[in-house]
Amino acid sequence: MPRSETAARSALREDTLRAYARTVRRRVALLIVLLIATLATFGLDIATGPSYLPLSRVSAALFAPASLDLASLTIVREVRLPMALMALLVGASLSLAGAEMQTILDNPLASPFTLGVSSAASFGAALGIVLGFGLPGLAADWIVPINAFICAFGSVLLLEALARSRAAGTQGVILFGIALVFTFNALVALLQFVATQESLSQLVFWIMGALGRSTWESVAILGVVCAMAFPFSLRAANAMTALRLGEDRARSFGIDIRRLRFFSLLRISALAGTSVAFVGTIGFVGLVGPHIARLLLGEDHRFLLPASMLTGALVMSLASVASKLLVPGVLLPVGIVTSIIGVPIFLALILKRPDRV
Amino acid sequence: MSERRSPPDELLITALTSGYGGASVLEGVDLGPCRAGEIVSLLGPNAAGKTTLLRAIAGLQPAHGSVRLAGTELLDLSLADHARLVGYMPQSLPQRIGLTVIEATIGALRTGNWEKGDQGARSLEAIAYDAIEDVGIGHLALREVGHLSGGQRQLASLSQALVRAPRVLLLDEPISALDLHYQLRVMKLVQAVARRRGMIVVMVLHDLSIAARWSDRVALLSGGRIVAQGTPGEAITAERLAEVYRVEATVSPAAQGLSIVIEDIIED
Repeated sequence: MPRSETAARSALREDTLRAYARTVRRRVALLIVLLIATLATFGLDIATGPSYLPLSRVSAALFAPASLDLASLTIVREVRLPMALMALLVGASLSLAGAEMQTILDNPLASPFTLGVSSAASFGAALGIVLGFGLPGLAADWIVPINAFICAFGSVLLLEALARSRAAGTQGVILFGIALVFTFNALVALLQFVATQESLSQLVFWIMGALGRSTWESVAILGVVCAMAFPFSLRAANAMTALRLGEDRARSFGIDIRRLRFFSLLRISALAGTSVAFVGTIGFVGLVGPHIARLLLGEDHRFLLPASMLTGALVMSLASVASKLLVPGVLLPVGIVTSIIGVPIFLALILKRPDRV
Repeated sequence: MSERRSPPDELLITALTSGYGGASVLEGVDLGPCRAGEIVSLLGPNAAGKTTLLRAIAGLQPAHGSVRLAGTELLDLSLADHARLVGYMPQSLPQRIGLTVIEATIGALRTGNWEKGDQGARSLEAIAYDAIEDVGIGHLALREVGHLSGGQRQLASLSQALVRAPRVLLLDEPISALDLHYQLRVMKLVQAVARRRGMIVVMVLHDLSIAARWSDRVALLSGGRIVAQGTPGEAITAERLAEVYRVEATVSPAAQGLSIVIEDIIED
């Protein structure tokens, strides 16, 4: 080989390896930017609300509570803070669940909302609200979220059983999920039809999805679920990256796909089930969060999974702020606002990079 | 990429059966012994069981019988241990892959207990890049796999299999989407790597002339059985081609490999 060609090849090698290292650094930087943006929106979320508190009082409530009157302190600490934290946690949980679902089912349309998990949760909630049906011995406050969780979890187990059986491929799982959506929506409609006026309005409000029900207790529970699921997600990140190359390819690298899928669906059901149980059905973020992350950072799951959590948290937090500002003095259900906020962002990204979606 | 340990590897397959659901596809396949550094090509008509045989050797497909590599029974190994010894390149990669070529190749190194072994002080990134350059697509390392042409994608897939430095490499139609230049390039590369590392290569090919030119041994499959195996000159004869492919052909020795001319199909 002539010397000039050898030199050109080693130059290309150096350039390529440097460019790859730059890409990795850029992704870490993007994660940090997303984190800062999320924290900023979180601050904004605490600072806004129907009761016009000046910023000085909000920051006093957080950092110097002794100097503040009880009413302001209660508003910030017992209403706004749990709601704002809930927005972050729900966004992060649903988006992480969506990202894992899209990879393990190899379908860009997969999300807790599109595969019936949210619909199942709505059905569970409707059973509690309309028929008063629930596990015996539970406090009244807990009947609806526990019902929602059990149904969400059950639907994921059904999806999982189907995914594990040799009969159905990933397409079969998707079709089954869509069938679940229609089945549970029909059952909810049936319950709505027989519901009293009072329980009907309660149910409709629940289905719209709202952060207003957040308490420190529910925030703590979802926080623990999220904190427990995330390290296991990250541990599976390399296997999920390999799975993008096809199931046979991944198995030929020694990855036990069934095991990967089983534990992933377990995480998805815990994340999505708990989220939906506390805030109702918030659909869009589980689909759009992972797509935004993928468009920004690509498909290396070591970056995609944490980025999905951050984009989900950011979208939900923005939606929470918007739900308070769109109609002054009125708190709109955040589930409605999520779609209104998320769709334009999503469309802009799709139009910019149509190939990545 | 240093020399393999001694004694040299030997792959021996005996009485291998496998199938999908209730239907059996392989009915007692005996193949080998395939020796270290050899290229073995599986030939035969569609649905003869070539891909099933490769997948069974790779441990991707339940099978009965015996697949021994240097005394180790591969069918008894866990998928992870199997994957350390045997590399597999499927016929095609999925269409939508958002990973770049180098990311995908690094991904092959980050999974399934891959061990760096004798690769020295090179970083994972450098090991991956060198495998990509080996197959001749160093200039595409930063492109997304989903944006590549069919042939480029096949080369990227080959680099993902080679980079793990397996002792047995299974290739399912590795040159089907490649132009003439790259067909030869891949065959030369695979042969060179096989000879250098003492790696056993088993591949499915459709082109008889290429198989005859580059293989140390060939096996003709038909209906889930091996009807002939040996050197290309021994196994590929006009009579066998008539029996297996239902074609009239003339086969004669050439300077390298065989000269095979297909005259007509045989109507039943």
